[in-house]
Amino acid sequence: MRSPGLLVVTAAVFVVAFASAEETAVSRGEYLVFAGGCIDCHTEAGKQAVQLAGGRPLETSFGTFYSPNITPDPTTGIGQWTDENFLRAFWEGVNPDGDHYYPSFPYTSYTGVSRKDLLAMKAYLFSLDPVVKQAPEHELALFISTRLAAGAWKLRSFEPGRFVPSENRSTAWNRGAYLVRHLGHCGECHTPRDSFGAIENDRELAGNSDMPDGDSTPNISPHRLDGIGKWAVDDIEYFLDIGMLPDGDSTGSVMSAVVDNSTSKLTKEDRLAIATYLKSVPAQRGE
Amino acid sequence: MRQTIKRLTLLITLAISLAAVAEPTPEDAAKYRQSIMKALSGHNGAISMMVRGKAGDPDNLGNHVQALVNLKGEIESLFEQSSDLEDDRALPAIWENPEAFADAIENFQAAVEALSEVANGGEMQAIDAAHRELGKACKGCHEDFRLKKQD
Ligand code: HEC
Ligand code: HEC
Ligand code: HEC
Repeated sequence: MRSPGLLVVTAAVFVVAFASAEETAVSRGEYLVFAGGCIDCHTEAGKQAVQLAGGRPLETSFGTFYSPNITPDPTTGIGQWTDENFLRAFWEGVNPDGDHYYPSFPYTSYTGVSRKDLLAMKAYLFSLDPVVKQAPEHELALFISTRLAAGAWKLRSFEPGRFVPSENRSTAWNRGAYLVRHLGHCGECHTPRDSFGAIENDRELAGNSDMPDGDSTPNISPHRLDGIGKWAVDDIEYFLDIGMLPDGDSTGSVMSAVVDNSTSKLTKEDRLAIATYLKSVPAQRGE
Repeated sequence: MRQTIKRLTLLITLAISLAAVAEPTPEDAAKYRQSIMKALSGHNGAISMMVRGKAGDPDNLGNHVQALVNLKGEIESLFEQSSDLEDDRALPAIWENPEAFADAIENFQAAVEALSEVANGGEMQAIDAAHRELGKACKGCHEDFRLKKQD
């Protein structure tokens, strides 16, 4: 006969094991949310703004987007989302009703992120306190004001697909490629776009002189004159940690926030992986 | 003869001091500002090579920290004159948002003080930590008040 004591013990062990698996997903998810730079876009400016509760205006040449609330509030946030809803948003750029997201949500890069990592991020987001906060409606130019326009854009400019590691590259390179191209979405700012706003992958990280706000971003390919070819791997790692360039200058504008909220929060190993990958892409001349 | 020389010297001195008082053109003010910024980054870069153990004799570290201490008081005066953003990267926010800008200067000056306090101790880990804080202060001001790098 089975002793009831054993049952209780087994159940307790099961609960503990379950709890700790959950906890690891949550803490891994937190790390990945840093790596993904989610906080920048999904948090309003100002010290009293609640992280990830959305409402931040993102100005573009098509109008102003307001980032949604991604805390688990069931009505104004994503509290009712299933795992499938979450995966499809990142992999396919589609919301739970089947409508298209605008690429101001960089699913164009996130489409490469693995299922395991996305579900860990979801677990982390769902562990946060729900915040009741409705993001304002986007204020967009008429010709893109319906989500059908986003769908039309995607047909031409969006290629869904998970990251596939390259067998003849090192583990560090593959990790770096995953972080730069997908989770860290560095190319969204640093790679030029064609006239339809699609990222030109054959000019990877060559700098974008035509950012939506009329500004530009520097070339971070390893070109020795136009890019960062003179930076050593550990110079890049140091930059991603504290934002300082090898000549003693400090970075600024939006890259300050990328360093503060994202790359400085990564392990040194991950920053070195990013550096390894950056050193490996083709050197691109400036425009 | 003597009298003439004396008078001439006086005139020249007067002319020089007048030149120093005269308001510089916006271009010259920007060039001057950028020179000071480059001086900051020169010393800052040298310190970073030392704390990372890559180059430079750590015995010289104090000199570079002292240089930052000497330069830190001048920052305010660099921004007295507003710029026109033709050939410089000083954003209008500096003059539109003077309180936040004053905070950024204060952060920077405090970070230099803190670095100079630990620099004398020679404890590399503490110096590294204080130097990182200084980096944050530079970055913090550049985030809100310096135009993006233009290729
Ligand atoms: C560059 C800014 C930006 C970044 C970075 C970003 N997002 Fe978003 N996100 C947006 C915008 C804008 C939307 C709304 C898009 C739309 O309405 O079509 C959005 C939508 C979403 C949605 C759908 C919410 C809803 O209610 O439909 C989720 C979930 C989401 N983001 C999560 C994340 C996570 C997690 C990360 C980090 C891995 C992240 N985002 C990074 C800008 C961003
Ligand atoms: C209080 C604000 C502020 C602080 C603090 C500050 N900077 Fe700057 N920095 C600026 C502004 C504004 C510009 C743009 C000036 C211009 O173009 O006229 C600038 C420009 C620069 C430049 C570019 C100069 C050039 O050649 O055009 C460098 C390099 C630089 N800063 C380094 C530093 C370093 C290193 C520190 C910290 C040790 C620092 N700055 C601290 C505001 C600041
Ligand atoms: C939101 C847009 C944005 C994203 C995302 C972004 N960057 Fe940047 N980055 C910039 C801008 C703008 C600058 C120039 C900052 C300045 O000096 O004003 C910059 C500067 C840099 C520099 C310094 C280059 C130089 O010559 O000054 C490096 C290196 C860099 N970024 C690497 C990265 C990496 C790696 C990632 C991904 C993890 C990334 N960036 C993501 C906008 C971005």
